[in-house]
Amino acid sequence: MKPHAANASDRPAPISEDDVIQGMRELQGYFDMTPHDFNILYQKAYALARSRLLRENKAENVMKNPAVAAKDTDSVEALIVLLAERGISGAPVVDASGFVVGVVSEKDVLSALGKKPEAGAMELIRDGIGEPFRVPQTVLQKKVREIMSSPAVAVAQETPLTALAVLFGQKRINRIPVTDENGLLAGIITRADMLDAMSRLS
Amino acid sequence: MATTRIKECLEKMKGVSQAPPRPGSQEIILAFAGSCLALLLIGALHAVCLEQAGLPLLAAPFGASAVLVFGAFRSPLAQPRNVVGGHVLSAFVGVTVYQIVGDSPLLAVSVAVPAAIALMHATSTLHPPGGATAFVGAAGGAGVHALGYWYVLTPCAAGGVLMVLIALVVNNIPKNQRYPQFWT
Repeated sequence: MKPHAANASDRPAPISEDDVIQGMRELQGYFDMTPHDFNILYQKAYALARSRLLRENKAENVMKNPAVAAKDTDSVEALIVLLAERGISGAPVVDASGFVVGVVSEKDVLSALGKKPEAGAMELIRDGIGEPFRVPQTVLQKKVREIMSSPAVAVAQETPLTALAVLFGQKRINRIPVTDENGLLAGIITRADMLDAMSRLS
Repeated sequence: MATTRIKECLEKMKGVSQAPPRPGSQEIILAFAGSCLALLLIGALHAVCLEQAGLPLLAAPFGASAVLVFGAFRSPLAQPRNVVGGHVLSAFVGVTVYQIVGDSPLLAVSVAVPAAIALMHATSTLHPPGGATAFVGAAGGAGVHALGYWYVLTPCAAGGVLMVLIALVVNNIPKNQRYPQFWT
């Protein structure tokens, strides 16, 4: 993923010289400027505005709060039930004090079941074709902290969107917990939340 | 390569845009009326001042200023700071250059006008009629030279201020017009 600066400025605003001329006509009054010059100034200002919005918008503007979290001492069975009931594919993991200690997701559960991390849900469902599918007790009884990804890639509330975009791109993760000034869980940002935020800003 | 640079320059000469749309008839009529009124008033005062004190108020450069102030009042070049500042600074430059190289009007003008441009740019007071003001200050006639640095005050500063005052009233009469865009 390109650094945010390149992204912000390489998409021109959808405005043509004819738009400018028509605008000048409708506004009345002699504009002492050529439509071309106006357009290049407009494109520049537009790109600057996009960069600024990406900088100014912070994790706390985008995150979901409250975030569903799993406890590190929960059983994997409890985790599976939690994720299923909430309809989410992953969650931050907190310890007894509420500090973020890791992130756990479907991939970690699939891994615990002996599947490769890149395996999709379909592989599991395929296992159930013609065969009863049971989750082994050994897996269900594990603790979340045994299967989670740790340490967590987490950000502070004031982190600008630009930094978040880089993290999602570089780390190939799907969710980033957001912590407050005490390190406690404040919210969660998923890849989908990022996309929504980016499209809102365009 | 030199040839590519030459080709690039020639390419640039083709131009890349088009003229902004011409203003409507209402605006043209108002520009006529405003500048007519301004020059009549300043001209009347000029006649009085010349009689009383031999101090002129009107000069050719003010015809040029009227074009900007009434014909293109939105332009950054037509704002009060530019009208007054531009004329004052250019007049100063013109008279000064005459003092130094006045023996050759051609040289004087060739130095005074560019100097006026540079000074106006550096002070954010660029006003095209300033070039004319500097030209007249450097080349004369005799009446201008006789004024010496008084030329800066009358007609240049005084004329500029008067034109701005009239424009402040006339240009703001129509609902969708405003003048000035800025003071500083």
